[in-house]
Amino acid sequence: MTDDAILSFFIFIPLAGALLSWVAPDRARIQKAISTSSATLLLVAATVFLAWAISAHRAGFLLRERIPLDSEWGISWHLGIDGLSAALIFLSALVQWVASVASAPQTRMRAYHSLLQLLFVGVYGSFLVLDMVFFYVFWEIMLVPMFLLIAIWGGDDRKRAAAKFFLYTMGGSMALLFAIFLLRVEIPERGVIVPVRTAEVVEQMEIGPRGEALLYDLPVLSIDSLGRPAPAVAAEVDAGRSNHLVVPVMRSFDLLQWKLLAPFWARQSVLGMALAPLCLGLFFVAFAVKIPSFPFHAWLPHAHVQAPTAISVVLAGILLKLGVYGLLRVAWPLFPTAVLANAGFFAWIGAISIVWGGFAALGQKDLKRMVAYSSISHMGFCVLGLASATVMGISGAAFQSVSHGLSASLLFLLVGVLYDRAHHRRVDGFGGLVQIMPRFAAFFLFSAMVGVGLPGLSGFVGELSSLLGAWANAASRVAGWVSATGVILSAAYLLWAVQRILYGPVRHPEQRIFPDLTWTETMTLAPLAGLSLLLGVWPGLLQAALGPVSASLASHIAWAQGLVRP
Amino acid sequence: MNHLLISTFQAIPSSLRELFPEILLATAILLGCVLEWSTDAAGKRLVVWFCAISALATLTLSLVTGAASDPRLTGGMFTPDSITQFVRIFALSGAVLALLALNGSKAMDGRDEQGETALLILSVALGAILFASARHLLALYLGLEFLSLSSYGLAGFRARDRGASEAGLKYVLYGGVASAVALFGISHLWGITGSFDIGEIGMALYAQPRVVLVPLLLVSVAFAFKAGLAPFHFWSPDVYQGCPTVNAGFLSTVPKAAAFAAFLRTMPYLLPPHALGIAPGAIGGFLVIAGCLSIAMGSATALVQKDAKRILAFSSTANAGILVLALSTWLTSDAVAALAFYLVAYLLSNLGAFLALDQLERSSGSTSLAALAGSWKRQPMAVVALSICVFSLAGIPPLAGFVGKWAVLMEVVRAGVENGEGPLPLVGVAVALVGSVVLAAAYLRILRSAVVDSPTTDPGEDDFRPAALSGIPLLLCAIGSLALGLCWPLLSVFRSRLGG
Repeated sequence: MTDDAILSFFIFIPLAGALLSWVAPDRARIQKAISTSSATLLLVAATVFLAWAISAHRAGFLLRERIPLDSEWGISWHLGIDGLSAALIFLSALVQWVASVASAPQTRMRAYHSLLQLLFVGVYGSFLVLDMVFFYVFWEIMLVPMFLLIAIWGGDDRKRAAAKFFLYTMGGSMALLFAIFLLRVEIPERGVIVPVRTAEVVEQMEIGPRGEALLYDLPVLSIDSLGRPAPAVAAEVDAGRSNHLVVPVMRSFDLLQWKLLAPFWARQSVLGMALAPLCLGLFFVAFAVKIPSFPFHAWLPHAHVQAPTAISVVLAGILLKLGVYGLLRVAWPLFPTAVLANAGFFAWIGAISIVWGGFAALGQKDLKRMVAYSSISHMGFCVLGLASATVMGISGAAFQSVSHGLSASLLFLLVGVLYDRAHHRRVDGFGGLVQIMPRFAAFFLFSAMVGVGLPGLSGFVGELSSLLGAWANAASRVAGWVSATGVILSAAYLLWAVQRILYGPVRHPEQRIFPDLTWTETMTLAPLAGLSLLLGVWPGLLQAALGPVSASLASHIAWAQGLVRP
Repeated sequence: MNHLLISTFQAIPSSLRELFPEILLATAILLGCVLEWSTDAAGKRLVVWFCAISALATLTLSLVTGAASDPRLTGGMFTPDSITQFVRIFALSGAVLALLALNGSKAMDGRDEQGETALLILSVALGAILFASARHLLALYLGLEFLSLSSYGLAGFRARDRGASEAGLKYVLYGGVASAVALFGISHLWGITGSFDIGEIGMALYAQPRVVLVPLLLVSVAFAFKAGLAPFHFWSPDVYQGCPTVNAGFLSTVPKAAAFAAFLRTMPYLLPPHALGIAPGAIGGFLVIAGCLSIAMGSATALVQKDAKRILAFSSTANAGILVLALSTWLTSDAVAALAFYLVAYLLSNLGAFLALDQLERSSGSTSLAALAGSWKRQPMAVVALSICVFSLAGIPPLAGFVGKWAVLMEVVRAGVENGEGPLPLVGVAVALVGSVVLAAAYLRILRSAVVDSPTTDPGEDDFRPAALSGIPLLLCAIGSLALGLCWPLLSVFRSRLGG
């Protein structure tokens, strides 16, 4: 399982595409062809992986590849895909495809398309990589292309918006860097022997070359039978002698090995402060900037309004999800006890984001700004669900990520369509569009319903599960009740916008000449809308991939809590 | 005393071999002077070529010679050890890059000063090597003065240019004061310990009271001045802005590396952690505070500048501050390796940024942010190289600057957590991280005008024909900034060669 390099292709295909775009002629058709074919290739591969994850229906990694690079530092090229990353990789590939098809820059197309693909190198890398050095590298790689994409091809105030995005995100990255340093230094030179959860061994165990049981490339040892071969370990697992299994963890940057150290982190302190809450706080800052969660959200509306349509789609559809992914993959598994101790705090952060974003969206006159604030509100549900640390809440957060990726992409594309026709985005500058652009109106109404969380559409599933999860945990219950008002708020601002834009008399007669959706526009909208409907009526499809991972994380948290604070 | 002199003289001939690179370089400078006097304005390019080839030859020779096995061989004045070897390779590579770029610089082409500039670049390199290899305080002072005097020339000898004159004068005044203060400190050290040899001084210091810290502080002013550390950095923006861009790029990198190498050599002797009757962490803590001061002042002032060269000047102060943080870790072999890597990354990225600005200046006429607007339309390749170098300076992975910053800050965190130096190193890292965000904002302003902004003026007819190969240094710097980011193993090489 460790020596095949299929996953690396997710990183090298967009990289090759970026180079190809850079050397190819600066003509719209050629550039778009390169961009789209690279995205199509990735979409096919991602679909295969998602299908595999759905059919496998397990918490373990489907595929991992690990090449040690520097033994002294403990750095390795370590990629892995499980249900969670498969779902998000699929979403990324879909959004990349939509963005490539929808992109229409008039100038410097070579640079545009290579930067777009370079951005996705960072995206796929972050979703796949399991080594903290490379995680940080890919996390930062996204910054430069996104900055340039907004700064060069954006609206009138693009430069300030791009700089704001860059500095906010870089500030968050610095917190990430600090936490990585602290954790790496905290592991003793000789390594640590930590107990492991039996279920984790069952889910993730691999058989080494000499028949030994390996967990994340580390030998699983039984206290009673040190060094016994795999069958012996398996027998102990079957016998239910769970707290007899230990794993020696050495110094490294390996994320999975860091996860094994969760009981160790919980007991460490640095200069008199408890390590786990400190590093959890640093990680949370880094990821909350990306989500973006209150109080680090101020960059988002500005960046969204100024970014070109396709880039807004990428920003809302994918980049925000990286924040949630970071919490799910890094922050929560590493510091389960600190998460539980601060569940109320995180839940309130989520609740404030939901309500604050909702009210702010209600007051916006610019349609794109409204959608941007609605993103803050909807992503708040992810934080809320995660804060509850229940299976329902965690899987709700993961589901909501994917669902919001679809609904926000839809809304930004549709706002782009309007802007393309009218060259403005004022909500009060439209009226009765249903008579002029019926197909547009249908898609807009549908997307609004996904955002509102209408039952039968994907938004409902994610928000409801997050709320149910929050209510199930006493620490996040009140915040959960407050958050429920966010659903009403989103209904208010979205339906009010729908009403003002689509219905009523045609207030601006010159808009009667607006053409309805073109074939290309329909082509980009249809798959997103179709998936929203599919996941709404058949959430089990995606849950098959996300559920086991969420359940595993929830039981990891509960196990660590029981171990550290019995 | 007499027999000591005799034995010293006896030691010199056998050890000449160790100093061959320096001797070759000095000879080349003298020959270059003769060549410079005997050519007219049109032949100055020849002098530059001569200097570039001799720098390359010296580089090759020092690679062949290698570091000396016994540092005592040269009479205890200079130690051609691995640190010297590092500075040799560093300074000579910098010189080769700067000299090759000099021929392509429009600001320099066809002027009388071209030859002199080339010679001064070589002598700065020689001064840097001597400064960094000194084991004897007088030799240290000689090296420092050699380095400083050549730098003054490089900054301000273009007498009719008001900016350059101002730069030169500022540099001389600041530098003169710094040298005088250092000399004052050296004389005190000699008075207290009776020796100039840093090893002997180090031994003697163990028995001394705390008052000896005063002369040590005075000597370190000279290092701080050369490294461009706050509050001794105010010369750098004016000097960089006033002098030709290629010279500024060279001055911002090579003397800085020499200063840190000299500090690296003398610090274990002059500032032993468990001496002078002070707490072991006190000196480390002092260095952290000094580093934070440089980072804070450098990054905050860089943010409000309106000229790309001034931004780079203040940023170089902040970068020096990060290196001082590395010094505060008591120089474990990991920290030394990190420091060396950071310096190499800084050489490539910072020199590269200056070389790119020099190329852009060709069409923009100046390096002010307003003039650079729309450079991407006029010189797209130079703008790409500039972006790579500047992003590397900002520490964006996977570029060279990122690895350097990662390695250095990681060692500082380790010093704070593992070696039990208390919370101060961690505060230093936090300041460095915040500082790098502020610095990134300053760098973004350069990129914003060069990459994003539309041109405000019509690009003039560019009839300048740069000499052959003059684009190579910038290309090498950009590729180096990119490739070094993937060269983690270099850290282990530095660790094994320089550590210990």
